Amino acid sequence: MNKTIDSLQVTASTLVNALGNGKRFTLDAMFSGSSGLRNASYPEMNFNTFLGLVDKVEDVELENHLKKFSCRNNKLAKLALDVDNFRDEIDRAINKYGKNRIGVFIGTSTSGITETENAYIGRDKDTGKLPNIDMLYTDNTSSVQRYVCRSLGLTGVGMVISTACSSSAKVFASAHRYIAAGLFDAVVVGGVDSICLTTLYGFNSLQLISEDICRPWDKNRQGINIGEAAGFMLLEKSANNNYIHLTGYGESSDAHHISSPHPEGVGGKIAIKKALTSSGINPSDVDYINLHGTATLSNDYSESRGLSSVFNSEIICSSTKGMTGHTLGAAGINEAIICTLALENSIIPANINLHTIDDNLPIRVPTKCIKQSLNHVMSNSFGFGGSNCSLIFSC
Amino acid sequence: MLNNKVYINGIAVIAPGMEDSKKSLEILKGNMDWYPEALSKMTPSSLPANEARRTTTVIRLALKAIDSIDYKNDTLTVFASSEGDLDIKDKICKALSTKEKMVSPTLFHNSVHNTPAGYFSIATGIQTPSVSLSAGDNTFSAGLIEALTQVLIEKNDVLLVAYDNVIPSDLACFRHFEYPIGIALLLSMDKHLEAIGDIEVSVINNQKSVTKCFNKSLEKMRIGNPIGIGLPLIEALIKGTGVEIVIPYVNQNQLSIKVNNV
Repeated sequence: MNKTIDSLQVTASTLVNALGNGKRFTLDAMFSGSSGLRNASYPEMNFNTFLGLVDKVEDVELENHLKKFSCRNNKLAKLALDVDNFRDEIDRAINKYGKNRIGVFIGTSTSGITETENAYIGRDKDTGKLPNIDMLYTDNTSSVQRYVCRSLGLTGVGMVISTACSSSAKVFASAHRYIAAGLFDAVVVGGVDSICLTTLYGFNSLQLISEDICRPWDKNRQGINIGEAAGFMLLEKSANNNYIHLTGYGESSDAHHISSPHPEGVGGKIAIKKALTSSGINPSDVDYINLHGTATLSNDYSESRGLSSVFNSEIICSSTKGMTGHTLGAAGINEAIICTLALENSIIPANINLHTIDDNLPIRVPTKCIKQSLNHVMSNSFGFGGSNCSLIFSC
Repeated sequence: MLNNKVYINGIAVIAPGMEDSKKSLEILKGNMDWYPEALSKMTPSSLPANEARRTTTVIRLALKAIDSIDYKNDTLTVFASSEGDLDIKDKICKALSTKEKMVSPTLFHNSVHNTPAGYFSIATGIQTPSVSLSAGDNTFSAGLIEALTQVLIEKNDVLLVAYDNVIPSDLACFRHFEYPIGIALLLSMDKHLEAIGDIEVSVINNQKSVTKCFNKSLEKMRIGNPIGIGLPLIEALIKGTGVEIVIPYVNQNQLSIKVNNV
């Protein structure tokens, strides 16, 4: 098959999640099978669960001239911008292309909503008024994209994509289109989603939160653990074979239900097949799939059925949500970076916390990491509203 | 930059005082002054009654804007909104400020930015990709550029709908919109029979004067809601030939749009 898109070079990346600040902590966990999930508390949370919290987010200070962007989400973004030499790589790209020829596309689901939640909690009992918040710079869905542009000194085009849990996977598809259309030469794609009461109590109301550590693919799964993460990648239009490339993407809509995936994984299957077509590879060429793998019954069934209609039973898949939790709007970038770490380090991460495999799932997952060289890996991200995206990264 | 002509094969505007399409056309041609009237419930014809009952004003605003557009069932969609559904956020935050913190499951699953896109795909059965985006005050232009790149690169028709409702009372002192607006455009490489015009768009970073509404009575709406910056484009498509309009875009950039009607 011929590929239908031009590959984008992954020049640099950075990642912060519950495993630690910087990619090396995630890579360590991919080898050791350790988890960043903790039976933790969160202010105003009155139920028991495991969380994938990033340490000391609230202590981060934004740059003096960007203080009005202060909220948990933008602080989490800054933690990621400050590690993995990412700022140096951006400065190099600015010297090469110019600050207005680098786009910025970020995915988030809840942005800086924590500020708004706290304002309602802190409402003046006498006057009924909310304490002052700067909504456009914190609560607004686009806030994190504008913060990242200013923090990195970039003035090109961009936006926030907010399609629930596929948000920061879909940024890759848009980035590819804008580069192909000539709107910029390089792009920062990323995702930032921080823990907030809305998602904690919202998922709890849907009875999807697990009291136990989350166990994707396990017969005794109880649901998700919510995590938080921020990750960014610098992509360029280049064909340097020493780098990993984004070689394919596929997007689709389930058109089925607002918060449940299609039981046969029909929407996911469309996205997966489109990604394979755009990359010009066959299902048998894929060496590893990082699952959406949330550990809800409906996701695991839907995803495994969608996969088994495309791949044969030998395909190696795992969910890494047992390590990081479900990082929602940042899940796409979190797991895209895990895929690039897998390619760079010839490692397939284990599907951890799995004790009793659910025999009803047609796709199997390894419980120990596998060390082997990889050429093509796929990452799946499926979200509320039936929004699906699959990405392919290749060596 | 985007040196390609893209056809606009359908347009619609939903706003207070602009629900009647004939009257709306006269206002956009500049033949009548605009004044606000209360919006109807905006029940979209695409939604079955049981789904419509669970929708909010924002979902109906987006879907009603699409209602009159004649799109094909393989169209791609772009949903652009600065704020998404603040009525839902207001209700969830109120629930979270109580001791019990009981959030309604329906409210939560309707709270994501792509909820209108989800209802659209369920109502129509369309399984093609859909992007839901925000760029704050530049959301309309960001939606337009996303739609244009999809037309040019995915080589498919794209239905763009940009919408923002007014802000709930508790939050209105922090961010204020005068009126709700929904604008829908059907963009395509091909000229359909019902084509309204074509556009050529460039991103410019030299500061030109932003185009104001030709119909001066619409200026209140242009500046009173982030989506309002799209109104001069709609006016130009309906009225003008060979005009260039300039609208704001992200990072102090602007979009220069050459508009020809057919």
